[in-house]
Amino acid sequence: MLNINKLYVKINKKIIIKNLNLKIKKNNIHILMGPNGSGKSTLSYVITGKPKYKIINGKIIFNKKKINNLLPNKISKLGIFLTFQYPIEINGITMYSFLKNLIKKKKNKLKIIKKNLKKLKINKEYLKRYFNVGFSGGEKKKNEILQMLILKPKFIILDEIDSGLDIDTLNLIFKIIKEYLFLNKNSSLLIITHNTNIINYINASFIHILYNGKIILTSNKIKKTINYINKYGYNNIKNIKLL
Amino acid sequence: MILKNFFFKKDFKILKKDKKINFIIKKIINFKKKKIEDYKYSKIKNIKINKYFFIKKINKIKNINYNKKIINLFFINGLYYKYINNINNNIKILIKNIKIENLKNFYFFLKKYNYYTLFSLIFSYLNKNKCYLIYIKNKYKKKKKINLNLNFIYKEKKNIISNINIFIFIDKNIILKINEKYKIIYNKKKIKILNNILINIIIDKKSKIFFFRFKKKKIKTINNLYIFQKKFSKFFLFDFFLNEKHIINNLYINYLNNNSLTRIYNIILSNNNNIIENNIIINNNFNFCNNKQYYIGLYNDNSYIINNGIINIKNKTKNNISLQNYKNFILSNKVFLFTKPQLNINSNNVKCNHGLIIGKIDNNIINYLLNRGINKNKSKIIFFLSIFNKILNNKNIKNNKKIKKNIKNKIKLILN
Ligand SMILES: Nc1ncnc2c1ncn2[C@@H]1O[C@H](COP(=O)(O)OP(=O)(O)OP(=O)(O)O)[C@@H](O)[C@H]1O
Ligand SMILES: [Mg+2]
Repeated sequence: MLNINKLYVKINKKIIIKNLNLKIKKNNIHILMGPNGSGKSTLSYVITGKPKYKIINGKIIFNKKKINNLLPNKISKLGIFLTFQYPIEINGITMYSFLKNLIKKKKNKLKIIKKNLKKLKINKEYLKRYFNVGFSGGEKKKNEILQMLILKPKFIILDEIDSGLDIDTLNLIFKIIKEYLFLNKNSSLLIITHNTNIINYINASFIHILYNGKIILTSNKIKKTINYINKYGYNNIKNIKLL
Repeated sequence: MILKNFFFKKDFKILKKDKKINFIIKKIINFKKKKIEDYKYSKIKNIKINKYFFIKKINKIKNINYNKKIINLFFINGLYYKYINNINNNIKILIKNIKIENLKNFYFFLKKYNYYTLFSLIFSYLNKNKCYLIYIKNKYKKKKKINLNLNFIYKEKKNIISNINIFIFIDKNIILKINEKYKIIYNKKKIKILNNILINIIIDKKSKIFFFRFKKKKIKTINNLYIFQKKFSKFFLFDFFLNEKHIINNLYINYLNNNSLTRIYNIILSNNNNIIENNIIINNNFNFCNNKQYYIGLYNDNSYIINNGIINIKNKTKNNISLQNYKNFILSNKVFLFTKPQLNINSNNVKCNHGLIIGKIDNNIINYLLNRGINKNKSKIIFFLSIFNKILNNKNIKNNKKIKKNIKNKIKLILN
């Protein structure tokens, strides 16, 4: 589904991602971990086409189509969706008037939105509020998942969806995501996280460690890898090859 | 035509003849069939009115009881056009082409309000302008809500220059919404209209006025709005310029006493060769007055925009609050924009602030919207709507949906 080949990315004259390779097949869940500033969010931005993130070398292929240099809205239309680590606020635009832009159908927009609000246990009063303005951290994250449910993407990147959530919300969000993957069999998921308990919430098939803009480890022994990181941190990461 | 007497029968003949105008008016006030029936001319015929329309005599209009919440006044090519159906108990209209010797009849007003009015009246007489007095009276001691629509209709094949003076005296404890509306008949031909309009609003104690000016028609306009506020009065102005070809907008706010409040919300959306000039003077001559002005503009092409704002704070005044806030978005380097917020402060005890921001499109918002599959143009529209909505979501704007739609369409047009 997603195939990244020898990718180099530059922002403001600084190379952030160096020679990155990543392959994700359909109907797969991958975990991406790595220290702060290693380039995880940058990678997610590059995949989704954020301007000013210059690809100086390499290719991003999505479903056999090269998507480097495509505009973010075109990439979104292909079925790639990113939940932002820091969702933005839009003062002056209500949730409802924002969300209805995401639905192609002319009829029943409110019905579709309400159905998904219910799943996420968000009060429908929130539709009248300005987009993310005054929302708690957890509410903003729920809002990201809400948009995912409305847009029905094929490939989802969750950038730290789990940080700052209480236990109940965490359980709810992963329950919804698993349900979504069950209903949309061909969809794949890339989970960016710092949460070493992630395996308690979802079963992934691969884990990748990003370090200094490079994927230095890819493994299917997820529990073992995470335990190792828990014990020794990322600084001893070179020895992780012993796994 | 000069309308000598307000209730003379011959006026109704004109009213019946001009089907086109009546049709337009009916459209404006959403006239329903049933209501025509309960409207009887006979009632009006019985009222005898003196040649010089003294204030005392006006009380006779009491007989007509329509209880309409909205009062529509129509001005055609700058002349008052009688369409009596909506005369309301609370409104007394003195319509006169004022003569100097008649001025004593208005002594009541002059004394009650201020002498500025006198000079204005003389001035307008000398200029041979048509001069209309609207007196909104509160018969009840309680607060009273009234809506007043000033409809300006232009109907001519030739070019029109219309000079018009309107004085609106507002009694105590009234909540009044004034809507200025424009309509052009024979729009297809390229007629030129110059609309030179002077509106004086004198607001008595504890009254609250909302003045809306959302114009859509391409009329060349000189707006002169003079506001006089008494104690604890509130004045809110909503000026939305969406399709102005050429407008000069002079606003003059004067406090006649302490504790007044003023809010000005101004939106300009301009493209092509539009010329828009905003001149504002606010005189803080008293204490505890609070005025805030918000200007947001989006300009493209060869727009020519001038924003002059002067706030004068008089010596030894206390606790005045003044704020001027401009936010300008410029989309083309051919735009001419001159913004000059000015503060003349002669008092130490004052809170003033003026900010001029050249607005920038927030790329984080645009990127977020793009990420959700919304195209670039639509993303920008949503961004600008978010900016304008800070004014448009004001709870006092009634047809906010319709206005938002107009503004959205205009943003679309400007961005293309
Ligand atoms: N616009 C930018 N200009 C300059 N440097 C940038 C820019 N965006 C990101 N960086 C740098 O790129 C590096 C990677 O940032 P990124 O946000 O991808 O890290 P991350 O792995 O997501 O970290 P975290 O776990 O803290 O979220 C950081 O050193 C950051 O400072
Ligand atoms: Mg990050």
